[in-house]
Amino acid sequence: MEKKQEILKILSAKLRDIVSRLSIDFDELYEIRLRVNEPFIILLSGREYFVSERGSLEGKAEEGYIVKARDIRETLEYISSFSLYAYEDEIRQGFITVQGGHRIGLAGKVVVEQGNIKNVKHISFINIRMSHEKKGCGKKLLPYIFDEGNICHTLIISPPGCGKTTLLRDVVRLISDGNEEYRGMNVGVVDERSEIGASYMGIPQNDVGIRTDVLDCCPKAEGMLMLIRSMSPEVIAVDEIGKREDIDALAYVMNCGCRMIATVHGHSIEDIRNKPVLRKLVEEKLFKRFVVLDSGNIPGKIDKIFDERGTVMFSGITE
Amino acid sequence: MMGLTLKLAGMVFVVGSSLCYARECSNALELRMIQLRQLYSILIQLKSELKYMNSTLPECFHNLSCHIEEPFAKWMNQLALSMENERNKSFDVIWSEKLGCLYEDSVLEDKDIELLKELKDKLGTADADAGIKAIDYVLVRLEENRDFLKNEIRGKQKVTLSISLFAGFMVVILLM
Repeated sequence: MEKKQEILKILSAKLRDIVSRLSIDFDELYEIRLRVNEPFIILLSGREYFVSERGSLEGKAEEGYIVKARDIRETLEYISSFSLYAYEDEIRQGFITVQGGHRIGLAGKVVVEQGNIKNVKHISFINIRMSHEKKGCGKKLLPYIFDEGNICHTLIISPPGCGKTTLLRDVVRLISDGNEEYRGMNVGVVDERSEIGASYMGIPQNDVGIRTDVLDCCPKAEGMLMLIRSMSPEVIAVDEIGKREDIDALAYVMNCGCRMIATVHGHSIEDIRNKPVLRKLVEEKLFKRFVVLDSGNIPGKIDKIFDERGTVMFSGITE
Repeated sequence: MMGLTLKLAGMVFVVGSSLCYARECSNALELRMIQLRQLYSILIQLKSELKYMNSTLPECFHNLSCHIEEPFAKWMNQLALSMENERNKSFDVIWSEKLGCLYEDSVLEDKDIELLKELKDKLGTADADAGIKAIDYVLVRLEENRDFLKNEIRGKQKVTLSISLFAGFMVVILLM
């Protein structure tokens, strides 16, 4: 289904009417923000716009359509197919993934029980993040993470919002599909936040390759062990490792002979070395390749690639 | 002789018609009994779908429509399609509208179908327990209606038969 139709399907009747009149390229639309009693905002081509009731893009907040509580309520009904109870786990995590892989972030009053988040009620804020694939962004990285016909354990280091998930997704797809040079491999993905595959009803909405198995909304540590036990992956990919149990599971997976590709928040290898939980990744040379992304405007742009000794293998790959 | 034969034939026709009418009323009562039992079973299945499968409502209704009998299959199917395609109505509006299908196609009485209206505000909310408890309440009330009908059905069938026969004979006497 076309992106525009996927979004129109989940919006309230009033918002649907407004958005259908927008003359924009939906491939450049990144976010739709709905807040009760606040102007309707979209993020288009990296810029913020207020959307008027006529369906025009405005620069001033006063000209934006004021989102009503019934718009939020109706939108929630359509997002959840009139079945909010069925999305209790997703709501507790703060987001729902819909058809097309778009992530709907939710905020409102949090219900806490015995110190744990039980639910979010009185939802008054919705952030629709459009799904975007960037096929081909991993192609130039592939030769640097292959060694003697096999994948090296690779860690992608990047600040937030610089495209590490986008890059990881494409690398997974390329490894899974294979090409004339490299054979396709079985890849297991632990997609804890449903960002890599953006699965909807268990089916990845993004192209993650023909030999890829996805564990959706599964905690990383348990997911890695489950994949090893049941899916015989040759490569396992995880996004944003950070907890001690993630590192322990990772080490176990590597000891089982499975190749690992992971991402982590950071600016450099030194940055990772300075974090107590992640230090082991660098000092014990668990990873053979470290890919540091550029913190500029181009998602997935690689700044440097290092080997396990810290030697620069390549610098400044551009699209 | 011819006249007598015709009169006898007429009497048999009139009394036979009234017997058929009595039989028709009796069948309707039995059919209502069957449909109440079917509706009861459907609501239990719906409750299981919500409680154990955690399916969305359109999925529940679609799944149920595949293996239940008419007119309930049509009702469930219309609900599922409406929820998928009519994106300008809330659930309670869709639920109330599609109950019209049961009014038209089933022999259930108003008091049976009115019970289902209790569910329009409870199904689909974030609180799954509220929906399940609402279904439990409707099941209890349906059971009461079934028990009441079970106790009354024999008596009603006899009364209907007696009245129909009496009416038949009265018509015969009047015509004679």
